Amino acid sequence: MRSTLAGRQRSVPLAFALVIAIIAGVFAFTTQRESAHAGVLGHDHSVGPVGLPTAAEVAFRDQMLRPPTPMRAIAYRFGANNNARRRSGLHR
Amino acid sequence: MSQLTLTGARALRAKQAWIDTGLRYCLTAVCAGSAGVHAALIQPHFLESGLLGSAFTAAAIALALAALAVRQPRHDSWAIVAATATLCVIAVTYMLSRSTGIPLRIVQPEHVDPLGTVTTAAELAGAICGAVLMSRSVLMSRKDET
Repeated sequence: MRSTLAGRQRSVPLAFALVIAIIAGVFAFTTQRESAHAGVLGHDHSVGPVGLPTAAEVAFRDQMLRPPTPMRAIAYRFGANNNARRRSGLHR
Repeated sequence: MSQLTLTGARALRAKQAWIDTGLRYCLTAVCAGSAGVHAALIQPHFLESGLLGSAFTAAAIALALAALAVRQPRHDSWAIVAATATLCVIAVTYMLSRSTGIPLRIVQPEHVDPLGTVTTAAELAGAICGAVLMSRSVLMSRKDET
């Protein structure tokens, strides 16, 4: 009785649901991968609150400031980067 | 009753049926899309924590089952309620994970990300579609009784 009064309702095709699920899954996978690669998102709990530099950014900055190779240490010693020399303790 | 009135009533019922079908399409799309997103994020969350990965797996399965059930009108007595409740629970869980954290799973709140925000907004929109579908079916059954 209800179906005759309310009109015949159509079911949603299974293909529609499957296509939506696959598109959303591929989109989510790609987005998550790109974000993790760029260090924007990821699930690194060592990062600080929003607005502060992420752990990857801090590590990158430290690596740039510290002399990782002997050659760079010598370059710093002879005044290549005064700020980096001061921070790396090579100014003495 | 004239023939014209009968035709008008039939047209109105057909229109109402199409509204229900449209809402059903929206609800199915949201459930399926959210299931796809959660399924794609299972592996990275398993790398982070087993419990978190299991939660994502359970959410993906629940949403996929909800999408399958809600697409057929013959399951309307329970499927719409179940799909709406599932979407609400998952949306609230996401909001908790970004605000206060979830005990045993996410101790420290995570960053708000665009993918999660869009998915949660879609889930809430789907839940609204489900609520409208439920209220319409209740109204229709009341109309049939009178």
